[in-house]
Amino acid sequence: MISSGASMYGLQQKLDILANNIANVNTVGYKKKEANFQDILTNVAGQTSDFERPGRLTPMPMGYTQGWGAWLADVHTNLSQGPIKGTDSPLDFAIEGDALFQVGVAETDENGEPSFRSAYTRTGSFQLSPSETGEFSYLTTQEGYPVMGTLNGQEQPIRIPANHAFAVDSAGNITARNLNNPDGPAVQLGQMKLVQAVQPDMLESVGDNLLVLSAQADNTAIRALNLNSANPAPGQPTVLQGFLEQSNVTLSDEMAELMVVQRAYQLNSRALTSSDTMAGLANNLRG
Amino acid sequence: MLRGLYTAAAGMIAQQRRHDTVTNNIANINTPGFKQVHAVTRAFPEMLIALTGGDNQSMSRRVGKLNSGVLAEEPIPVYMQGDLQETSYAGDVALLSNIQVPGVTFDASGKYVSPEGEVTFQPQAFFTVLTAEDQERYTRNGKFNVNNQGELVTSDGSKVLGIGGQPIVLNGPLTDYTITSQGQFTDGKTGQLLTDAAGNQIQLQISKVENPYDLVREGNGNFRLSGGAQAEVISGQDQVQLRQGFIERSNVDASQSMVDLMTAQRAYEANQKMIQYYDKSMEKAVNEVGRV
Repeated sequence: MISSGASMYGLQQKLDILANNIANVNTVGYKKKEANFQDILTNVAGQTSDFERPGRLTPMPMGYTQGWGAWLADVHTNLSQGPIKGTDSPLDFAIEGDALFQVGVAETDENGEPSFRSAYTRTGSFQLSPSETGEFSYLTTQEGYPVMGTLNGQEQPIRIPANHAFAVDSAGNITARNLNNPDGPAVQLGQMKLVQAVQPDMLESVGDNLLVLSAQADNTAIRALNLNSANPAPGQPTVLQGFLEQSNVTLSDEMAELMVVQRAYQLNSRALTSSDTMAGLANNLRG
Repeated sequence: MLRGLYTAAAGMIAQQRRHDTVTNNIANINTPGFKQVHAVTRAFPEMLIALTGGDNQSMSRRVGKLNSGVLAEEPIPVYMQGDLQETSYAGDVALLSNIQVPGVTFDASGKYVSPEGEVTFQPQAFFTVLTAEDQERYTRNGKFNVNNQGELVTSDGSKVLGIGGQPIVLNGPLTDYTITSQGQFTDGKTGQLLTDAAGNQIQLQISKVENPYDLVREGNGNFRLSGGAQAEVISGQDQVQLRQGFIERSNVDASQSMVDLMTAQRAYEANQKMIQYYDKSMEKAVNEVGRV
């Protein structure tokens, strides 16, 4: 009875994860979560040496092993590539390959100084937020977090001067042209900062499509990528302007998994009922 | 005393054990790499029954043999290959084990009985892992991840060992690597075989267990060899293949398990009825026969 109950709890958690995946089937840049089962610690009911009889297959000191069901051992994010859809908006970006955009979350640090905490995302539907003076705009996510880039070796939010149209190449280099002076020289605005998750399990999602490093991760969990458009390394991630990456959830896989979990739940509840009947029989042994 | 009372009680306990084993199988129907378990029952040793009293003979007349009960002797794991399920996740590796022994053809359950009556069991291949207490264990659950230190670990945190007996340490995410069918790690983009800091090739250590029934199940998918022995590493000739992006599902048969569940429950009920009848008989003997 206990193993059935424990396993049903694990199946319930898996059902929750599947429901979350299915709910996010249309979210741009969503990465599906997957869960693994593992069998619960086994204990050995000891058997005395009288139990050693000819024809016994398993070794003697073993006794009678009893399992206690299954539990959800770990939940991890599947960072595989989602399908890419063209949108024709110059503010939509998609990454093809294993990389993440870096955005800054504004906060004040210990000294009271404003600083940026790094968060990472695959959702590339950006917008332009004008600064206070109106001279330039920041490139931000839909929730207003600025996208980080590197300009002259320094990491800072990406700034686009007012009245400029900008283009981003496959390595993330940003060039802008003045709309009032189309034949004028192109302005180099640096490069979009892309990072790669070396240990993807150290990233946790905090809402707003953002991933942050968990508390126990150290610096090696994320590494910055140096993309070179002139001499690309094989399999290098590329940035595509005018495209959006859809969620990597395939509805058919999730529905099949849902049916498997439902049937396993049904089987476990049947086993629970059977154990209950047997306990009832024992109770009614006398009177 | 009525012998049958204890026989029926032993029967109930044995059926309870069988039921518990089947329930555990059903609970693990989705656990990757799980091997289902059959509970085997065995009759108590036989007793010779003899008549007491009777004629003036020095030797009592024998009636015959009687078993005085049944016990659930041992849970025997079934090491049949589980089905492969494609997950396309770089950290999932499935083990296909079909180790042949020269001159021997194994049947579907992995057993061969020679004409002389000698029984041979098919050796099985396992991944080798190191638990948190530095103990070597074996598992078929190929769901791997990379932990904080870059080591390849299983779902419960045990480190996966490579050739040479050391945990495998990776410098990048699992999607950067392709694992060949022999367990070697290659660069995902160039296909080049990778070596670690010491210059040794990075390869998963697959252990071969000669008699899989010597394995003791520990939970969390780990098995250990009884007596502290260690399994040897497979050789190139053994038919063992690895598939990255697949997992080996549990080999639990749902329909057979439901049938076993119902059988155990009804046998339990039958034994319960026996005890009730004995109870009634004893009630008659105590209350009605001896009435004054």
